[in-house]
Amino acid sequence: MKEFLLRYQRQITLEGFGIAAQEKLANAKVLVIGAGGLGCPILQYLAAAGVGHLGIADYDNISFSNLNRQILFGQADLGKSKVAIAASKVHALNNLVQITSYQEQWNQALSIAHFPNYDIIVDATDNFASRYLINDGCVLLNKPLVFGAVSKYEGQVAVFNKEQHGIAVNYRDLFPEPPKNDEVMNCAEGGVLGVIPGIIGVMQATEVIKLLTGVGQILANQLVTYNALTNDYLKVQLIKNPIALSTMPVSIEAFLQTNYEQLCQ
Amino acid sequence: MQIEVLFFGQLTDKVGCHRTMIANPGNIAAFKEAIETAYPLLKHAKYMVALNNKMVSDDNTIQNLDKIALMPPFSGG
Repeated sequence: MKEFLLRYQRQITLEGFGIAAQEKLANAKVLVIGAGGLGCPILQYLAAAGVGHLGIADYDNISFSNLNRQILFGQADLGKSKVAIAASKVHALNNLVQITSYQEQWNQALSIAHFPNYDIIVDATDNFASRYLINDGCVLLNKPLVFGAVSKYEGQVAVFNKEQHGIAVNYRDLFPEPPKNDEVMNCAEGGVLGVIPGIIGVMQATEVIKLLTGVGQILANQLVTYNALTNDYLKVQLIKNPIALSTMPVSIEAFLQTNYEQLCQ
Repeated sequence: MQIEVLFFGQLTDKVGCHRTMIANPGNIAAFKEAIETAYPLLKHAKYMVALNNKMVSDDNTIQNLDKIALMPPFSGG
């Protein structure tokens, strides 16, 4: 208990936070899908803040081109599993945090099996197939989703599937169908400034902490876009889109049968 | 009267600018037609339209001096 009070003293002291909010974090379970540019700062800050249980999912190994932004990893980690190194770094940072690792390409079956065990799902992936799969899974299994995505010098953050004022917007309301593979360049093709996933990931971690503790106003039904070149910060109020109902899988069975890779080709 | 149009993400590569002014076309459906005629590469792009920082549907009317933002999906992480 003494370690708990000392470790989190700076946030327990915060007006409007206190022991009560800190205990909510300690009792929470958050699943972060993707341990890359977004996932690294999200995991670091959620572990440092004292989220009790973190799920970490990624199938990939660490490569040289990851190191400009994936700040949990160093040169000695090249070729090693992202999930394994991320878990060991998070454990070294805060051994009060329980960790569950999933070294897997995230899919529908994993969503159905594991989403119910978590309070919040965090999308830190890097491709549309995963983003639509995770969004649809969160809608069908009724889980709040903290979304973040980056492109070159810009990033987006939102809280989806969290009811506020009677509505809960999800990613399909913005973009009912995924873009095709050649329509939007990914980070490998278009590039990304290393600090961008840092900024966006930390904003996602902030929304997770606010959702878990009830402190402040969350980005439910809102999308923030940040542009590092211009310092523009734009917050857009979102609405339900009737077209989204016709593009979403209507049931768990339909979800399992959806080929997300093919939707994006 | 003119309205201001802002482009985000990779839409700026398709149109070659971050911002432009166009004549007020009256509503969002007419706006999409006008902007896709001015910038044909937008026809094949996915984007969400925000009017004065609120997502809108095609039947929303546009007032003079309104500001429209075109926001594409980002994939990177």
